[in-house]
Amino acid sequence: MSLKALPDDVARFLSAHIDSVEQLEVLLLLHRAGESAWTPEMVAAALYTQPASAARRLASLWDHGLLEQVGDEPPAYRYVVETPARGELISTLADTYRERRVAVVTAIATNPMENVRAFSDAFRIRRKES
Amino acid sequence: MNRSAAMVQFLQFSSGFIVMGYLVAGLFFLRFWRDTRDRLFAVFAVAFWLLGLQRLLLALIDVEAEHEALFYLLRLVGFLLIIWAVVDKNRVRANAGRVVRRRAKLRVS
Amino acid sequence: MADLVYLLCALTSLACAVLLIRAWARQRVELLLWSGLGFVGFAVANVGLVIDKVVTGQAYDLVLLRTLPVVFGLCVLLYGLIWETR
Repeated sequence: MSLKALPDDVARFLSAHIDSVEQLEVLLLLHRAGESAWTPEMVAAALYTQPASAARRLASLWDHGLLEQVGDEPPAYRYVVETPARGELISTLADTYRERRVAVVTAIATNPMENVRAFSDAFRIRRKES
Repeated sequence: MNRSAAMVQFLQFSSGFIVMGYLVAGLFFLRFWRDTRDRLFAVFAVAFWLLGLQRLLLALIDVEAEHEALFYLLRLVGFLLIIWAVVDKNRVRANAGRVVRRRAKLRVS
Repeated sequence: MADLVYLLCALTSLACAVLLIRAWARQRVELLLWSGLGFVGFAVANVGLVIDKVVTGQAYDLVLLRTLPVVFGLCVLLYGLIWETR
């Protein structure tokens, strides 16, 4: 299955915001959940992952503007739609992931922008954790 | 400055080549910005285009040596932009593919 | 004032070159090597500019030193941008 199977905007969204399948699953989980807020523990229970890992994914998605933070102690997040177009895109992404899982997973794993991102990361002087 | 005709021709050719090179490199950076939404690339695109513009102006406008510094102001701005892009990348919570946020978010009613 | 500008340009190009080549040494992403070498070219040209304007006071015609490294740098950079990115 070629990467061309994915719609352009979906591929671009994945390239810009999603660096792992787990992150995508977290995003889609909160997308399905609508208005309710989730803590890392809740996410970890739902997806059978570690809370620490879930926390990292939630924070990263928040940093990308895909979630909003609704609590501080413990940190809770909720899916938020910045623009209607973005909301539609994520719905499309959810459908695409359901119907063409292999293509999506492959796109995430073999990010064509990886070299380009490496260029940008080269200018990061301070080491970022993880 | 006493240069042979051949040298002058070669320099003119080089100028054209360099302007084109900066233009195309800038276009690549612009594309990377489109694809990754990483601000660094947008800034690099503009910076490279400024460098190209400086070369272009230098080639087309006959300028006295003392006034050359004005053109290099363009180059300065270009390099300052690059510096700013690097500084910006290293600011708190550096994250690849940052999207502009911190503006009012629409709530799904 | 102009001298500071030239010096700044040289240092910036050099810093970029160092950052890119250092990253290439760590990760072996070829794009980093080509773009790093590109910035080396720009750095050499800018150093040539500094030498020309500041050090020798334009006593010699160093225009080739200011021009050829940029040509080289752009060739190498463009090669990397075209060949090493999808």
